[in-house]
Amino acid sequence: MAKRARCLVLGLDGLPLGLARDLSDQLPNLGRLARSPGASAIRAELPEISPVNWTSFYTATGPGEHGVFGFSRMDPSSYQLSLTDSGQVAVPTIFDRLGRKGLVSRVVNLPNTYPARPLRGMMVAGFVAQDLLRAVYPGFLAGPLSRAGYRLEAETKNAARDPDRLLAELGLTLRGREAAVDLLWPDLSWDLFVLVLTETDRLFHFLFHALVDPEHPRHPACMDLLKRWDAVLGRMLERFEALPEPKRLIVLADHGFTRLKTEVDINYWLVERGLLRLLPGPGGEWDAGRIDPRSKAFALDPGRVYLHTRTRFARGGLDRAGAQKVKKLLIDGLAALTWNNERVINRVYEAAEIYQGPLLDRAPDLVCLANPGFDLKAKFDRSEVFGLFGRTGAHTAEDVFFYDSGPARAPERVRDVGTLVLEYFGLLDKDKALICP
Amino acid sequence: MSVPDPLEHKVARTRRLLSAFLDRARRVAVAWTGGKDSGVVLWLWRGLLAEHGLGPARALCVDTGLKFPEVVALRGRLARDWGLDLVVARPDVDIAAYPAAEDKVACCRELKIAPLKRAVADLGLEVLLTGLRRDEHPSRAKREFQEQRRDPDHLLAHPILDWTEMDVWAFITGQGLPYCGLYDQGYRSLGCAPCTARSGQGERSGRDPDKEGHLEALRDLGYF
Repeated sequence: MAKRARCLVLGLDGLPLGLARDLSDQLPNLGRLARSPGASAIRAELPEISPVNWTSFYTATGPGEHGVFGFSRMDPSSYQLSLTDSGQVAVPTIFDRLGRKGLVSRVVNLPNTYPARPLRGMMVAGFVAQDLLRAVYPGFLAGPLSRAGYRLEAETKNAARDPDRLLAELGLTLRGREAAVDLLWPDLSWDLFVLVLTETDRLFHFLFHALVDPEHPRHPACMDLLKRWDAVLGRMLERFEALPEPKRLIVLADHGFTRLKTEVDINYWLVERGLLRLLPGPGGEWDAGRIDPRSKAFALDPGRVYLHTRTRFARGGLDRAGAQKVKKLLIDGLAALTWNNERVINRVYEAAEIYQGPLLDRAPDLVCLANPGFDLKAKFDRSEVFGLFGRTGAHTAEDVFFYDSGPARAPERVRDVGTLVLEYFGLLDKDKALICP
Repeated sequence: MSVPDPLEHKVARTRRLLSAFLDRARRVAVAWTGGKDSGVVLWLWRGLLAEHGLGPARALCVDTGLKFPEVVALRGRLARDWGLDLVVARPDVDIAAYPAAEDKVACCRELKIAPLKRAVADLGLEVLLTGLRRDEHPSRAKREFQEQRRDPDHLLAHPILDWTEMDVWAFITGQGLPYCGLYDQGYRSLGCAPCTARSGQGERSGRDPDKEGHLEALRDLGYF
């Protein structure tokens, strides 16, 4: 019988390579990876947020193909926002493709896989997952995971006000992830194992300032959590080392992180310029139903800008010529946006510049890539463009952590890591060359 | 860190146990409930028979008349898709008038055990393969892989006795085997409808606690 080739993919949500190297001395297991020749930096898909990037990884495609462009999407008729979930992923996953070849996947805490869909293998879905029974496949996993104290997500609602509680919550989710591995790993009847640790992302959002400042009173507590996280990483590396050959270890983040300078609300910026008008009403940050028919444009988190055209949106009034004019206005205006004399926007992309595929018509018309430190938002209840709201870290698209125990070549983008997995298992489409140098 | 016991070793051990019965394959049946555990045993036995040109696999299903419709539907579908020699044994009672689950022990004895014993005798079975597992219930922790039973004489064999619930699901999901949809709705162990609810944290926590308390007595009566 041929030896079973196995691949372990570790996801380290929101980890930049530079920070990983800075922390190497204090986090020895991360250090082993970060300092090895197999480590390199890759680029996040845009926008540089988890559902877009993890979906790109687990489908080995970009947003123009899988159809996930952000955390939310808006119904063009009702203007109701809904959260993105696995049901909106329009292409087969790498797990589907492995399964068709009889290969088995085990997946723990992979974002945007909720509700868990049947696969050849087992799944514990990740963020945003609400109900454990719907988060797992097969359903029986809800029992032992619940008994092990598995938590789908840390409570972050009061994280800014109560960071100690956040740290405690992250300790619990970390313990739960390892309990899930204890359950899903030992029988070894799998080919691909994916574990994503999202604690880094949550920590960095709220306590990045404390993490990077050794004098900060909460710095020791942040490091204590990261040391526990590093110990989990170390035990995963031990498990991997104990596997028989052939095997492959791939470690990736979905985006990078840096210290937040300010949040930047694109919708309020549009309101100030008279391009977005909001209907009266109490509303809320997610209330896109307030978009007035006279609006020329609006944005969805984080920096996805939509032209309010009559062909796409029920209340839209822009015709083709008007849309071109507004688009130019937006590109020029956003490019000129500054905060404390710093340019906020690195570049405004038109959809076709960064997306290809059959779902291009679902893409935002413009995607803003912010300069590091600026966190783009698109709320429907803000009254200022710039502001701080308790978060101290911001995503970045560059310097995204990647490590591969395989041949020394680095992929460029997150989607290419999914392609690497398919290639390892001999499932790469003949017409789809790996986009690696 | 505990040393893992790979599932493939358990599968190999189970196949060896089952292989011992190939020489009398026509007098062997799988006691198939339509549930996950006996389904795995049936799949493995069927595969072994096919490898040796000895099919079809005989499945003996006791239908108390109180099974979930989803279980009955799966039974019919798999009997067809897997080409099974399916024997459905039914109790000799008017189920519409029967006081189901009022006296749990008597109910199991009359609706399950009596028709099972009758079928074993009528079919002349020498070996009955079950999906019983040690980790399901404390009363099963010390069971042996094979147990000689009387009245009628037959060997009760438990080829996945050392599998865990995780092993069973790992096998089902790894092989892509069909299973009853109730398992995706919170059920972890399927018995008769009146005595089965969605499970809590334990695998058999959805089973009637009164009946669970009587498992030893039921075993003595010939129940699995």
